[in-house]
Amino acid sequence: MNDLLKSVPAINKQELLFYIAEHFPATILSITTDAGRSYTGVVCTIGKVKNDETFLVLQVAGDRNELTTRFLHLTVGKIESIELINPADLTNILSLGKIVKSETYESSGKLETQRVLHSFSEAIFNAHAVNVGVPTIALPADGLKLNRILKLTQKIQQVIIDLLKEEDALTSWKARYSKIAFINTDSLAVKGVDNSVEIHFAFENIHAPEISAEELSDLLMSIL
Amino acid sequence: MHTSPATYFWASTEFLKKIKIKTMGLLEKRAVKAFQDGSYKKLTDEINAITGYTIEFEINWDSLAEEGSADRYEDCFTQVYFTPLIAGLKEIAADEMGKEALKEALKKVIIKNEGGYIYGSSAYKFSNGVLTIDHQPCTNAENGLGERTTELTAILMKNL
Repeated sequence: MNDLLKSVPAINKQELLFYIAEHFPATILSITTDAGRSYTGVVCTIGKVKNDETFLVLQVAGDRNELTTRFLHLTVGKIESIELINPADLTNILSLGKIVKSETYESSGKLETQRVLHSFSEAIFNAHAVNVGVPTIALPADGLKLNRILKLTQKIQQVIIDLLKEEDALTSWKARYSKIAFINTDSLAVKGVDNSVEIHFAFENIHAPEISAEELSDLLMSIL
Repeated sequence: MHTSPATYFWASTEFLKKIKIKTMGLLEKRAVKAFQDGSYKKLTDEINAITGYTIEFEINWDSLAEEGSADRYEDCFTQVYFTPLIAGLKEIAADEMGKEALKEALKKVIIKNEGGYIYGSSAYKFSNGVLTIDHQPCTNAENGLGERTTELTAILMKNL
């Protein structure tokens, strides 16, 4: 985890709280105000008001981290420090979803992986009536690498299904692309080459972090 | 060194036990022959029809012929060795992709009872196109059917 944390970018308190509220609302936080008082609890809501100040409502927790009926309302500017207590995925939170922890892989066969690649195309067609094609990828012989490809395929499938819910994205994809390719590289990149969408990622590196759904979605948007 | 006849006899028996040489009685011989001539052919024909090609079978009948269970060979051999295999192959060969993968990867099936295994989790090995089924012939025959099918399908899927 330490190596992963080294690559986490700097973020401010507001970004951190917005991300926690949206993606990890159950994370227990200990907030210390600039007056030196500390409160422990979970984020109920966070939002900006007209004068651009950001307010936070925290449901206060008791000594054993059980939630009480006490609520704290304060401006984010008054927060001196935020402590995350036993977060579910610290790297994900601190990187705002850009770095997610590695999966553990079990062995898969080529047939199982090929079937998932085929069902990728079918699932997207069933959801949006668009033929994105069966992803082409050179399959390795190693079972763990195949399992990573299989899991990544399912994640990419969900990202594309979510992305194509937007009418303009669907129209653009239909007009421009009919093929898709997964290319094994070190880092994530998405390219539109002729009528093909190319997703470049560390498909075979079982020690590399998982693909970030948010980043992939943004990159796909950029070629539509 | 001089070896007494008693010592020599003991050593021979131990040796035979170690290398698991079994001699089938007449009842066992008849039951195995009946299975070979009847169900075995039907089962292997069914398997070849599912896969669309001929899989080679190598069966150590002597190790399967458990003493005192001859009247159960018909059901037990089928349930222990063939029913899970047929179910697994059907699942895999449900589409052309599966049939092609099987044809490319599975060449031979060896059936034997040497390790004394009674669960699917330890009974199956797959290596270099050869699936080895090493399971006691009449233990867990009906009860273990589901577990064997799951384990066998999983090991095949991992190797295709």
